[in-house]
Amino acid sequence: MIVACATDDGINLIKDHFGDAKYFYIYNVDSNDYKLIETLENHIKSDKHADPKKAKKIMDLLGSNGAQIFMNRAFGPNIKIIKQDIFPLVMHEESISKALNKIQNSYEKIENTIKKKKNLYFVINKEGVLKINDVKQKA
Amino acid sequence: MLNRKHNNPRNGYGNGGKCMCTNCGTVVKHGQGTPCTEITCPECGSKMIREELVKSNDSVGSNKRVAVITAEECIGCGKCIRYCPFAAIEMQNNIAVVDFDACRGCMKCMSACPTGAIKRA
Repeated sequence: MIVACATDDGINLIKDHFGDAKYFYIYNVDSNDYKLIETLENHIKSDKHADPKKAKKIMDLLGSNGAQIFMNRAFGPNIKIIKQDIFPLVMHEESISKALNKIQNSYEKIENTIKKKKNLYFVINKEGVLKINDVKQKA
Repeated sequence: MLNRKHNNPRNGYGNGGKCMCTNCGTVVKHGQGTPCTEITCPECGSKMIREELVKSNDSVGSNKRVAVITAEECIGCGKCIRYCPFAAIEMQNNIAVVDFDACRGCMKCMSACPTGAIKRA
């Protein structure tokens, strides 16, 4: 599966929202290995914070590079837009390499989910436990 | 015609009265039609709420109810922090955490949360 990571330094995921990263590192991940296949500079800027238009442009940019999962430590409210086409993954781990290892540990479950379902987002906590969430409707 | 929302102090509305800063305690006269929660303190810039809510030692409503955030559903967007009029939520390792002593159960955070990770308890 193709995973886009939000990073400023190529080593760690950023603390801010996914779209605020300086770079996107795109990895091809399978159950045994992962490989960096592309690095893209995030030149998509917006004066408006959590701008839905910015989210769509980033989705187009990374989607054209085959990204199926967006991974970062935090996402903005635009997660509702992103999850319509891409699977956001909230990772409670700072290091990209450790984060990718945690994806590999849950590889089968994630792969099966992205093949069959839509409109979901993943959370992997510090202990590496995967949770698959749906955005709940407001009561 | 005023609806329930516009009569409800928890939304920052009310007839007359005062707005109070949740941080420094500065009090200003309530401006009719403008909810206290939409103005900021002229002294420190923090959030304001209805004075009677600060002075009452109880939660908003008759029973003590608080917001609870499910960590495995939190995306770390921080929207709940911006919406909380009591500054009762902070981010710890990109997960929103509620200070139950400060939370008054107004549940503005629940409405703001884009993923529905916040529940009333």
